[in-house]
Amino acid sequence: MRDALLIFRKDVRHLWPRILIVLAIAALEGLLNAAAPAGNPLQLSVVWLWGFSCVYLTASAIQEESLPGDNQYWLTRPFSRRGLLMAKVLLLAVFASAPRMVVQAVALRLNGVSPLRYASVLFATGVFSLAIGLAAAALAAVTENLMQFLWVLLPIAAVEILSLMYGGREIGQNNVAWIRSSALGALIVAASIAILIVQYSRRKTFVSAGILAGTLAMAAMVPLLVTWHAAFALQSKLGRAIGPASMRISFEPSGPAGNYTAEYGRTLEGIDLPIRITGIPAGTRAVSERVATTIEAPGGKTWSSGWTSTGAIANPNPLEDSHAIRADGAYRQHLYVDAEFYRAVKDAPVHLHASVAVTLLGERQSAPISARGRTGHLPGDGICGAGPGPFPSNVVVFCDWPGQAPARVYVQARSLKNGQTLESLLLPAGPYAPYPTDGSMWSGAETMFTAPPEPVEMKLETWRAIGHFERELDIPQIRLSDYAVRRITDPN
Amino acid sequence: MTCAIRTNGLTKKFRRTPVLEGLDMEVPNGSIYGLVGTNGAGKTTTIKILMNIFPPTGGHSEVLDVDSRRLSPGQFAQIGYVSENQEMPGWMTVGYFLNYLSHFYPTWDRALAAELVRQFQLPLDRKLRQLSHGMRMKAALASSLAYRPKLMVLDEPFTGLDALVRDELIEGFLPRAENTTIFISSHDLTEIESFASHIGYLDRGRLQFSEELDTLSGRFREIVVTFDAAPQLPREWPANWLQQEAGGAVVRFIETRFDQERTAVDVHRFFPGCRDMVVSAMPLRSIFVTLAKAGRTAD
Repeated sequence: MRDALLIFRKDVRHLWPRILIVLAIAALEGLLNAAAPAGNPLQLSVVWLWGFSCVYLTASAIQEESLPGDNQYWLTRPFSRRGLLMAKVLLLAVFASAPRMVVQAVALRLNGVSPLRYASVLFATGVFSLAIGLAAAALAAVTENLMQFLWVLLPIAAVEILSLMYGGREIGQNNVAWIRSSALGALIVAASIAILIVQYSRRKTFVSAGILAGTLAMAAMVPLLVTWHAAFALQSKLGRAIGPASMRISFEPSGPAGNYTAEYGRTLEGIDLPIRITGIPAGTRAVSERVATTIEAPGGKTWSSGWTSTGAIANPNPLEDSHAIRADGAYRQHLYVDAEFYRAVKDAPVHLHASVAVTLLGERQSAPISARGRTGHLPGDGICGAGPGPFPSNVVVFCDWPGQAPARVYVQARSLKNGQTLESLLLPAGPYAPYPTDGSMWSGAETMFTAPPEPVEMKLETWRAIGHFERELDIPQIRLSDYAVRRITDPN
Repeated sequence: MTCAIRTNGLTKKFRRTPVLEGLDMEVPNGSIYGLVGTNGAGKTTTIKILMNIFPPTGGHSEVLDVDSRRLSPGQFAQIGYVSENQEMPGWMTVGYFLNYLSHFYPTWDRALAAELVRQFQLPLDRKLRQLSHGMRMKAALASSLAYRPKLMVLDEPFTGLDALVRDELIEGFLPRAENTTIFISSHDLTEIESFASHIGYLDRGRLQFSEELDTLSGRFREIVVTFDAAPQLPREWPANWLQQEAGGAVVRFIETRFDQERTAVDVHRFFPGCRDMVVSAMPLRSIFVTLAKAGRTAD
């Protein structure tokens, strides 16, 4: 420990300008969050900036006594390797993780939120900082200097971005993407620890570089291995309540005729099926996440969509959240079928099977918010700001929550003049993550809508996800052309 | 412990290139052992294996009775290592560097450190990166002598230094290393000769000999034999006669196993008509050149 403190003191003496940068950015983030977390456009940029400064500091600290090479003075000095590693971890903890946690705690307090209530989220931000530091430390431990560090970092970043872009096709920005992020994070942290142990105990850079390369290959595979459906299945196991056995989706051929029109690409054909949903528990509502459709046509022709967000259970009420299933009743199941397949089988009786992934929302809370200006102490310790939008009679509402935002948030605006009520969903409709995965302390959402005639009273309504499950819709015989969605641009 | 350093069948390969091949070497306690050899002979590799910077490919080495692969801070606190291309923390001032290191050595002698600083005329407030190569070597040496190490390992410490700085370095460390074993690799044979007690000659990864300098100097002699007329040269020369040259009535060679009586007998046996024989002692540099040339001729 004595060695660690001596090396730590030496590092602080040399790296103080870099330490000051990290501390200043953490302070700036805290200041921004303290002043106005809601609708703060700089929040994420500052988190990224802090991340970069933290990586720079960590790499510099590790390379004070660089591990690869054979000419470093310290190799033949009585420095214990354990003390050396401890000194670096101490530097990271004292000047990166801890100050950020403290600053965030102060920002929470200044926003009237008890930091103790969000201790787990504060801890998560600390772990996030440490994870960034560990990854940077591992990379710095296999490179001799900052230039080499950058040359290794850049291709890694390129590979990861490509993998995210490719993986994005499958999993996209969605509410269960945190599972993939967490898997990736766990992989990176585990590999970083392994590399640091190998380097500080044996200085086997070749072995460490092998671990690094293997980790990169596995990291590139994560988006392909953790598919959306796998993530959703895990999410449903983690949910507090498995979906109610009572909820059913059934085809209702006698239901109201669809008059749904839409505009979409020529490679797909839309199908609008009348369905009935029953068994929604009182005080809850559901949203359909994705659908997987399989169509079997006579002659053995089969087409499957895979799990896709193109298609959902739609709420026919245009003034409400179009994806919300509020209660038992008639709804529409929208599906999109490959246009070529559709043309080949549209008039034939086909067997259609759709698996629908559904999230059940509950624990509704609501509170009034000011139509202009800031409102605090909202459900979930939220803070909202409202103001005029870019167009006349537009209203913009932006809200932030410490930690994770509620799964779904609405603003309900009611005209006191004529009683007209409008509901607007705040986006992004939160991920179902138990902690923020981007290193932020706050997560936000916003909406812009045309307000009903003034004066207006506004209310914020929040819902938590309480269960995730799948339901099946099986139609043994159906003629697709009977339910085709008409394109807006199609001639009548 | 009779040897500060001992190697046994030490081998090292970089990928498929052998650099050391079965090195057996013993450095007696209290000796000043000079490891000499041409560029690429394996001197630095040997030292880096001894200092646990490189792992050996095979064989075994011990430093201060500890397997060199297991050298710990406890042993490094008793070893001073100075190398010509050592990377120093350039941002540190000389003063901070010495003070920083002092905390890691239980035997650090502040008075001795101050004396070394004075003797080497080290500017305490100057950053290491601002020092000349010579001054940096002096700083490295001062930082390695101040704790009175049991073993000093010096890898080409005189390379790139002018004669004055060389002398200052030698004068600086020799008197302070009375109870220290010194293991030094160098090209600078003239300097080595002035203070080494033992010499090892490394050639392409093999130790050609390792012995006391006096013994070595005693067995190498330049022999000049004169005749009345050009002599008949032997078809096969003795293996211990190197660099044979003949010109007119004179034959010259290097005897590598000189013995007053035996050499005289051998000369008369090979050259029965010789008129005179002159025997000259050789400086280490000439011995080294002779061996190096002999090695190349053998190829």
